[in-house]
Amino acid sequence: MNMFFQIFPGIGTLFAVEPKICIARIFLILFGIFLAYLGFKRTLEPLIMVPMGFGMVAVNCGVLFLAAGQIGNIIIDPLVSNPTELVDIMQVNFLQPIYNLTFSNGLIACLVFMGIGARSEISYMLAKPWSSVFIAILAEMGTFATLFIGVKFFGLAPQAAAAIGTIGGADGPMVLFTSLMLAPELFVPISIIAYLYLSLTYGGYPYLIKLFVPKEYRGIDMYVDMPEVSQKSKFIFIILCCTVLCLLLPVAAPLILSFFIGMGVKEAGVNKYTELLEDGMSYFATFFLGLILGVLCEASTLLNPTVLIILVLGILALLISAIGGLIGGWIMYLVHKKKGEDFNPVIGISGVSCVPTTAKLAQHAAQEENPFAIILPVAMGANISGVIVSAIAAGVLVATIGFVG
Amino acid sequence: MDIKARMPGSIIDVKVAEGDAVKVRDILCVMDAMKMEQSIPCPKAGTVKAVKVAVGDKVKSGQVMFVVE
Repeated sequence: MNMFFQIFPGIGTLFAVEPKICIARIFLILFGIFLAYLGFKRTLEPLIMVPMGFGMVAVNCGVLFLAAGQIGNIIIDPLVSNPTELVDIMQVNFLQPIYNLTFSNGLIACLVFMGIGARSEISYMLAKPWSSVFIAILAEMGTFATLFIGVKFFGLAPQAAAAIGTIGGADGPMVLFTSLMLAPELFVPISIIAYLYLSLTYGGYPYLIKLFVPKEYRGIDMYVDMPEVSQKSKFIFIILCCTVLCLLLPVAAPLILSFFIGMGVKEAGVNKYTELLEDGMSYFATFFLGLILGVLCEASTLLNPTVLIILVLGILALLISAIGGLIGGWIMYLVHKKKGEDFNPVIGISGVSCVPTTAKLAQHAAQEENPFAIILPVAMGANISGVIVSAIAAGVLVATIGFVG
Repeated sequence: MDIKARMPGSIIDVKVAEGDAVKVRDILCVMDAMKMEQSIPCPKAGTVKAVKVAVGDKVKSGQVMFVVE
């Protein structure tokens, strides 16, 4: 039997650890297969879930007996920090260089963000700027509510609560970035849970829409005049926005730079760069992001009791943000009604900045009730404002959390 | 009546031809806007007088796609 365990250490190591790690490993292996399958079926976002599922499976199966009685894998070690040790390990663990050089310094988050910027069309926001920004601000409610709830009711440190709160901003790169800066010891579970939940919003949010917006209001059509904004004006607006935001929130400068450089490059018509950011780099970054998230799901990392708190707070954050956004949508509906104009309250959900998922959800919900309704342009405006507001919120949190508590 | 594009996108399918009789809610074409497929329904009953777009065309907001009388 012992011989068998030595020859097949993946199985052998299951018996050489505490039972709870053994059970956790088996659970994560099955969970990884499940996630990858859900990605395959498109129930969850395949771009992240397929590589993540595979990674999760590999890191929990491929465990072996290392030197000096240690048990581990040769894929990744998230806890190495000593530079000399790190250089040694980078020559052994095949994903270590990607992890330390692009993941833990936020580079991969910024690359994904550049891709999002390159896909964002700012004229949607400029069509109805005040409504877009108002809804986006209310949709940020989840972040701050979670910060409060986390500290008051769960006894978390403000930094950890803030990092978990950013899940309510619904922006993957933002969550990665903020948790790296504020709660590095929790950033693995926070990121994994964030990406899982963000994939689930596609399934869950439609029910929230149905709950908060009655049938007769869901199908409201909106005829919006898209203003003819010249490329020059848009470009100048983009670079000025970048300037001002970086000046005000230097701690979020990497994210701000990434988003606006994506938009700026697109507006400047530098097609080769737009293609690079939108296609090549974006998919490269998303693939490795998913893969690294998967291989970080090692049983021992996830057996942290805080994980349960993160699971609860994460859902709360996204729920409160959606409700906040929909409230914003309703307020805009009333404001426009007074002026004798139409506004579809469902647009509120697009303030939760999962670009472009929530905008598409809004359009789907509207078209279900009224096949002629086209609210996607206005929803995209709220979506993009949501991204910018989330970036500002992340910057504000990182800059000011030291003063709380 | 001019049927205009309500947002920028590309045409992935044209479902009617000149001379076709159409009813309210008949699908005129399928557009791809922001990686989302949008079926464009007809707002009035009548006959298609002109088809101004073809599969693969990129349309701008406000561009006339069909004329229905």
